Amino acid sequence: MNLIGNGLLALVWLLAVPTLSGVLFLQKKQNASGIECLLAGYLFLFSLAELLTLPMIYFGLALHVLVICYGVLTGAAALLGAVHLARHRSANRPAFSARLRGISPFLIAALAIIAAQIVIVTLYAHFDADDALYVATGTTAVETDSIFRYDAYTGKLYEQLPRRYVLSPFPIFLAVVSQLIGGLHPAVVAHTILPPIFLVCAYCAVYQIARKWFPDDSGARGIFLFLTAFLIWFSAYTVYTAGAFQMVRLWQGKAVLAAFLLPLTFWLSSSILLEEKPAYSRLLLFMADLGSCLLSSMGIILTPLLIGIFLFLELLRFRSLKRTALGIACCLPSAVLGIVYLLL
Amino acid sequence: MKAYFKWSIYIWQLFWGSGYHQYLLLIAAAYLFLFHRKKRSVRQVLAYTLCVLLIFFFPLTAKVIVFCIGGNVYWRVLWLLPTVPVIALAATEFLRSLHSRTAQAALLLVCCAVIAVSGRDMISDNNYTKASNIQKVPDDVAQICDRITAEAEADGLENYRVVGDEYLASYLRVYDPSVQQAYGRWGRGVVNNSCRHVYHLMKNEEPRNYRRIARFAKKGKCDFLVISVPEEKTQKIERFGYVEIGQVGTYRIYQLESVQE
Repeated sequence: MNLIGNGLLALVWLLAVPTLSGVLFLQKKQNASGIECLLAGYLFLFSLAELLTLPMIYFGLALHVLVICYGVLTGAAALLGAVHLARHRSANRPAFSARLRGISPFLIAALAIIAAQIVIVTLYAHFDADDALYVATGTTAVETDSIFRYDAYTGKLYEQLPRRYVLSPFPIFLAVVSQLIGGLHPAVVAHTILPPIFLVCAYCAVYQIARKWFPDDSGARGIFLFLTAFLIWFSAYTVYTAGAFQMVRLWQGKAVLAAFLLPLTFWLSSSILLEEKPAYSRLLLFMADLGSCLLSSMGIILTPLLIGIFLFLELLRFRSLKRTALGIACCLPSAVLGIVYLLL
Repeated sequence: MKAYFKWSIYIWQLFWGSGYHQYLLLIAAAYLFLFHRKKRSVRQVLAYTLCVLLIFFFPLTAKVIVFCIGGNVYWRVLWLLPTVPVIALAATEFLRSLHSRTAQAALLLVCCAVIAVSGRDMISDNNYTKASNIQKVPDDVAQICDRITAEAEADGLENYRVVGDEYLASYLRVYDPSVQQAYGRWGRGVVNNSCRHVYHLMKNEEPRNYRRIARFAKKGKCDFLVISVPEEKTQKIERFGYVEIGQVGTYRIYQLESVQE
């Protein structure tokens, strides 16, 4: 398959499918935007990937089984989302031209910076030795049609599963995506396809924060997004910052966690836990917790820590144990996987 | 407990390095608290920030987190700190209080200048380069890999083991997973004791013991040996049956003679 075909498939599996499947999880909210659907869709994709991959590792199933299961389930969810969208299309949604008129010059400047960042992460390379595990696990899975059966470092059969990484099989997600988009080499997917997509997702999460903080001021949202993009561009003072991870290696699970999922969980937590009548379902928060477990073992602790802080603030604000208990339930995936991680 | 507090301070300094965004965060938080604390969203984000800082610096929570994730990656807890949103929020609140768009734009440029001076941009830090291969691995690794796989294919080899230095070990299987390695990055997954010796010998910069490297590579059943070796020392490798099949940059690619035949 040529690169254009691969590119089109990438758009389908990495933008259209998450956006359409995300519709299913935003039924509580009226007039959910495309951005919200995309973000909810990714939470679903990551959660589903984690739920499918872990048992398949345990039972030693082949990669193609996972690809088929993941492809069928996400495809079906996208189809259902499309049907739901067609049936419930809102008549009072503002026209596209009206929405365009509401765009501030600051937002255009912010989009210009983000576009420049997308061009850079797509066209240029950043050599990162951590790929020896993160990308090589994906290439090894594709080469051997297996999931965590062969050592990514050497190609030898694993004598013992790598306990630190096996519960967060994001490299396998990379392998699955590479197979779905026409068998493109996982290193190409990791280094060229995923960074621009996740960069867009990361800024979508930031934009949602801006919408929450400045609901009636599109100019302020533009300034906020512009400054965020600018701050991220100037966060290379050490290699440890989330901005540095976002700009140079947004194909590794921990970078996706730092740049995309933590800001997204921050927005969701403040929108769900700290609102009297939240517009979003707690299921999204549950999926954020589960999805972050897929990305990195850090996600197993950082995401519940983040949600935990918001739960504490929620308890202070509403003094409702029932609400807090529901919030704690959202952290169940990381609690279970955390215990397994410590026991392994 | 004191040790954990000291560790937190050390990690804090390590995380910010030569940057000054932590001071911008402090100024932004102070500005928001002084002038915008009546907004619920501002109070929430400031309370959240304070909680993250308490968790990070409080020895007991630090101890629990270090137990769970390990001390060497404790800096990742600072990913929870909303540095960028808080600075952007404060600057936006300040700019939106101005009524003239020209004044907003002018002061936005001042904000950008402050951010630029207090941080470091991605390009000047040599983060990006051009690669000639679509897998975006270092070009010399791709060329070495292509040379080895071509040779292996010509010889009808299906499984073959390659040994190289740490740099090669990090990228070879990213580029081509059909290549098997003697060990991976940091010597991980080393396949046998002889290869372990090769790893330790390879780690030494000049003067390397080429004779021992070749001897252990052969004993460790490495079909291909890739190494930077000066011209006058090549015979030390060749005497163990390794034949040079190509050069890429400073690297020489050797194939074990018995395999070649």
